[in-house]
Amino acid sequence: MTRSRDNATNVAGDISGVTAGTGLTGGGTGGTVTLDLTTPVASTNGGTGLSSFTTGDMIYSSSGNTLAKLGIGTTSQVLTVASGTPAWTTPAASVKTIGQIAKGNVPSASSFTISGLTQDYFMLRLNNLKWAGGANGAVFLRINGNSSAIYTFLVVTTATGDTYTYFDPSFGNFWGLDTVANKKDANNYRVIEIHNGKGSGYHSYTMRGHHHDGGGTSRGVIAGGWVAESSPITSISVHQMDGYTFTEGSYELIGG
Amino acid sequence: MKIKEAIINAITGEEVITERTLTAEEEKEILDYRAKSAQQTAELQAKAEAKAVAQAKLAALGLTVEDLTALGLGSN
Repeated sequence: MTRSRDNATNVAGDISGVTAGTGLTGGGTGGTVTLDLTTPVASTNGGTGLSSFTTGDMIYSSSGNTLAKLGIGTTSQVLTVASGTPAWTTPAASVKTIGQIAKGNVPSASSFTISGLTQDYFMLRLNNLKWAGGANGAVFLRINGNSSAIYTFLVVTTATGDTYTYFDPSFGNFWGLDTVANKKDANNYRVIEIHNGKGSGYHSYTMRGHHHDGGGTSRGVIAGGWVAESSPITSISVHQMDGYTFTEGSYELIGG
Repeated sequence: MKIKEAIINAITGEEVITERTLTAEEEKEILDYRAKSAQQTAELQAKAEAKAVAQAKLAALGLTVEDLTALGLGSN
């Protein structure tokens, strides 16, 4: 049996038209029927409820089913939480930490230079133990090879057994002191802290000296000064005052 | 006069020792320092020896440095 129908007459099951519901436009009762969204699909229907974006935008729930956009932050900002929602924040300046830069035994030479200090240190501290060699253990330091030197002296009286640790950036003041040397004593320890004045034209320093005679007597002294050097510190060199060779000792450079 | 100079790279740890001849000015500075240092050492040793002799004389008299200090004659 062949069934025919009149297309103009609807029968049960036929679609008589498409009506645009909420958020939709278009529809019709014949021909090609088109539906378009008039509003963004709500988040509860799988959409975002948002109609436009800018590069870098991130979507987050600002409240329950409500989605919102978070515009991109600026360079180096980090994503944090503020009042329960995400927010871009500029991180606080990192805390400077002090760490070891170089460490070793003093080379067998009249001077040694620690070079390659390329980081932006605020402070450098050179520790030394028993910088032995030379006639009396006196050394001077230079920053970046600058002729403006830091003079340090560690002197011991031999006849009386008294021990003095002495520093002075003024070369001439040395001559009034008792002499002889950390080369004979393993308990002499010097610390030189140098502030990296960078472009200021000066690097200030503080020196501390400690001596223990091995018999229960300890002495210490502190002194300071500055070196005229306008560039950031890239090298520190230590020189025997009398040009003789370091025979033993160790160094440690730390900075931060 | 020749000296050895060491350069230590803080990053790599590489150590290079070279030898060079001092300039005339550098050499003079070092020699002056050595001479003055030796002179100073000798003077200090002589001073210490004189002190030891004086202390021995005091001891022979039954006196101490503190006795002299008490008399306002100096200190140790």
